[in-house]
Amino acid sequence: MISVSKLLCGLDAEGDGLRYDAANESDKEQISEKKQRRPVVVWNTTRGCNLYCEHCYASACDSGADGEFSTREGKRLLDDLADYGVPVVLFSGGEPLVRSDLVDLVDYAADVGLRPVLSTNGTLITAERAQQLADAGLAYAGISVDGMAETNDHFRGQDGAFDAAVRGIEHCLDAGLKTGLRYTITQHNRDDLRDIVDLLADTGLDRFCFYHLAYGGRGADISDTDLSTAERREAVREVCDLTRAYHEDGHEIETLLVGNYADAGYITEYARREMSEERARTVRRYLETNGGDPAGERVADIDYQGNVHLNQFWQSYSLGNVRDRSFGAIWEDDSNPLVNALRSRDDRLQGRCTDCQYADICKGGSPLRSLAIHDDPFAPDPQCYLTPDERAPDTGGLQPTNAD
Amino acid sequence: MPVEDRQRVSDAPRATDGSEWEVFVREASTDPMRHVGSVTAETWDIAYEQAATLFSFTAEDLWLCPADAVHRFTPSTLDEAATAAGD
Repeated sequence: MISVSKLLCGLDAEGDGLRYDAANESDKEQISEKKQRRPVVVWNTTRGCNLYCEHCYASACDSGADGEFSTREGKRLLDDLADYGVPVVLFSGGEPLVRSDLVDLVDYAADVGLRPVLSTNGTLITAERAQQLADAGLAYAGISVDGMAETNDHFRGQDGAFDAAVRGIEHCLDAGLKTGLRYTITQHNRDDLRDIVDLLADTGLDRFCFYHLAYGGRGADISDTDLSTAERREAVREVCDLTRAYHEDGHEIETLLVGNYADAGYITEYARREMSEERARTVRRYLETNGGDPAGERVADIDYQGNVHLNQFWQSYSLGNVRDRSFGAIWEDDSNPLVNALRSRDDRLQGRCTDCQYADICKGGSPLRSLAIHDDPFAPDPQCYLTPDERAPDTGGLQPTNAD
Repeated sequence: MPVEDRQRVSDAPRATDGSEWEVFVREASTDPMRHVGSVTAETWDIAYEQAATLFSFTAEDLWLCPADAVHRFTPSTLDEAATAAGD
């Protein structure tokens, strides 16, 4: 995740310590005082979902899967994650709210010292359920809306899904829950981006996460709706522009870009072009600390049957299963050559990445997209949208700060 | 470790869209075969294709085994449906 509001506007956030090792510079209470040493874990608690979204990486449907965790197993898993020092567990699905024990699991996660957060389509959040989740210690609810009403409902396969999600957002805000939008940008909804921010900011929402399309699960089936290079540049620029416009108007929204670390190079160049050389240096320094694409390092996924994945989108390959051995043992097993290669991927970058001045803060982008398009996880990310001038190290761009 | 300290992991499914295939690789002819995780695929040939794209950069030999053909015994106590190893 790249915080546009932090990098361009200096907005402090709870994730500054975790993400940029900048806890001591932040006025906000921190998730972690130190940059994370353990991964954030996404737990797909169920395959069941009340919607059928075109881009679902978990291939969710209307029923749960055989082998999903019971409540007791779920609590044992949360103990395991807490023992290993996982900072954050993201309850996801499918749709996690179809599990009747979700509040119990969130409560347990908070009790054992994990920071429980939620990824949901929002449509099943009632006022009562929002309050129960808040009382249980839920730290954040990320609610997926992928366009204005017509666009969103088509994308999510159900009329009324937009209105239900907005009601869910309002219930969360009323319960005092920190709440944010999750928005995956495709050709279908790129024109709605500014309208959705304006609409939801009016409801009191102040956190907006924009996802690039991941080519996993059903997301791989709709890669033809992904943005072109020009459209992606325009969309990311719009996120940067509207973030600054909101802040200049005194409305301190938090905006983040997720899933494509070419954004790191773009934002550095944006800061240099639109703001100042000094701001660009600050941006680069933060992004060097952040460390590029997190697959296999700062994020992990455990699916509804206990398989451990390199991130939540990469469901077709598993490192092991937590019913066999602990998550920490699986994650730290240094005998796996693919994991080792991902964790030292600077040495394996290819093509345009080899002489890119932003390779150190991007790490080649998404290995899953590279795998989907090039049959090689270490090939350049097909979504890279930096121009040759932006990538070239000898065109006046910003070099790594340790070389200054 | 005494036999009784392990329990047999239940046969709960490991995949919903297809089957799970355990992957083993040997990086050099004198190396041991090593388990490197699993892939999800409908058939062995698709599983091989997937595993090969992930591990060809380092693997010499590559073996696949249907995950449900592997009986797993572990001291881990997470699996609620696990049974005593001797059962």
